[in-house]
Amino acid sequence: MRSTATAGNETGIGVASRSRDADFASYLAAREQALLRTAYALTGNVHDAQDLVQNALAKLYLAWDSVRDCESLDGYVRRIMVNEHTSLWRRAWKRREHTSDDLPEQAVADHLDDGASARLWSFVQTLPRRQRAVVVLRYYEELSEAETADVLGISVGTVKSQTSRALAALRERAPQSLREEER
Amino acid sequence: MSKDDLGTRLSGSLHDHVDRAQTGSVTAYDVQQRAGRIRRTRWIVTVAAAAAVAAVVVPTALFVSSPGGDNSPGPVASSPSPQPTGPIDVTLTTDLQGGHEPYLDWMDPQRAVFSDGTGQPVDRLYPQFVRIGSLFLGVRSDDRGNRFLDIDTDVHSGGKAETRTIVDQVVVSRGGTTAAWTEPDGSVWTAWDGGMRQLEKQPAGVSAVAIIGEDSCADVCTVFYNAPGAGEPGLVTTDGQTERVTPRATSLDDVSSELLVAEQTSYDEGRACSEVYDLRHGKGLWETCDYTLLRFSSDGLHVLAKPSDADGIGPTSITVLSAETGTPVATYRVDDGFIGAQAWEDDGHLLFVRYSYGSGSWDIVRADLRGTVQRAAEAVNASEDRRPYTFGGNQ
Repeated sequence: MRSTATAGNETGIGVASRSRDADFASYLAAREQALLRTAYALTGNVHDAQDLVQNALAKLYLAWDSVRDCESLDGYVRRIMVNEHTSLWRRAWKRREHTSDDLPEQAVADHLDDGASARLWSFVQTLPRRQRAVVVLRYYEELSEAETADVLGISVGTVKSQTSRALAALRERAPQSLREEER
Repeated sequence: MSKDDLGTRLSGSLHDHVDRAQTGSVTAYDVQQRAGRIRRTRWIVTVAAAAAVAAVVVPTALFVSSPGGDNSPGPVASSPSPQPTGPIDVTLTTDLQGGHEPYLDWMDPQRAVFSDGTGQPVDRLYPQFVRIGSLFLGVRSDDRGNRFLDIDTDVHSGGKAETRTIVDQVVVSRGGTTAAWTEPDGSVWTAWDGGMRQLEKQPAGVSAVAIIGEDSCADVCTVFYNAPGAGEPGLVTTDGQTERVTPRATSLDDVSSELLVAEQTSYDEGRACSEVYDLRHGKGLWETCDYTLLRFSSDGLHVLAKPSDADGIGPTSITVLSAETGTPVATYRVDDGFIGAQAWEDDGHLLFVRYSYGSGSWDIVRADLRGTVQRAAEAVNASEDRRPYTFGGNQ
């Protein structure tokens, strides 16, 4: 006989769904800020970061039953975010067509130097999305080349070449002051 | 600045800015609402395959039980013949006022101009191309009619480039986020800005017609294709389903996001008959032997068409039909020349690449559904077989 696992007049499906939602909510509470920070590094603005995280978490929610036993929930979400981000250009372009009441995001003051860090952050925002994703994974998330390749679904060699290209672009665009500080 | 130094500074800069940024929050409610929308989108994709099965099976059962023993398809409304005076009937004259350059991706022999305001010098004019973010897919031919797809994974700064031999064309989803093409051995490929996926192999020689799905084929999508010769059109999904699309189609022209199929049903002595078929409800909506159908508008409300007896280098008129009824909404005519290419700029605007024999030149004309027309790109002198403008996206 199949167990019906009821609680009061609640069906087994209802209990399972509630448990599932509770598990998901716990994960969300624990990881939300870290995911938002990664998304912010990828997108460069809060609005797109929230949109990106919301979309990735929605896909995780839909796949929760098949992935929640895995140890790599963060990796799953991160992979979705990075890959979604590269296809967000069209939505971003559409948004630029509309005026916004939102105030520009406040610049973050540099603790460590005299504006050089802010300039470097600005240069990162000008990188093509794929290169920016590699930079974020390698230098913010501090993933290895192999881990970065796994997230992006590309070869380690491509990670190396994209990293090298991104650093070359940053070096080329970096102001003289940045280069002088290295001497 | 050494590589290691820059890497250290980069890491510091990212942590300095990201870790202290106010990134707000995402609620479980927001996530669940978004999940609901994604689920509905997936349902549309799934139902395309299911509807195709029903479309083939259900009408056959109905025909068998028909009291009169008439196995012909059920009645469908015939669209009116092309009217010289439809609701809107516009002749594209040569003395048009100038307007903004096209708002979609387009190309001339020197440059590609993208809808996000960026551009790129080009060393060749691709007869067809698709751009998805930084991914560029350009279709070209050689003298023997072979088709090649040039793929550049980062069109702005030079990414990985490769060339594949393909069949016919590359197609792109309504949202402009995912492309599909087929290769001579029947391989079906999809690509988006950041990934590629091969679907289950189909018969050799099939050619992609349309792709529907989400932002990418990483999860689910469906590719519709035509088969060579007398083969039947079909579809293939990411989960490997392969189906015939509709009962009567001999070839497909387009599939809308609402799962309407523009298809050809017969061809006889240079004249083609076509219909729009509703995949969701498994029935033909209307049929015409006066027009050949082209592409749906992105909202699925209209479909472009050209006269079914058009021949030669290009049609002299293009008509917008209601997708639901087949009724002409607007017809655009060229008196002294022909239309070399056409595209939906958005749901309410069309773009035509028009050739004028009088001036021996090509230009781009924009028209809306109320009959307002303007020039969107200057006239360029070129022979009639050297069209100097190409629109990005589905052709």
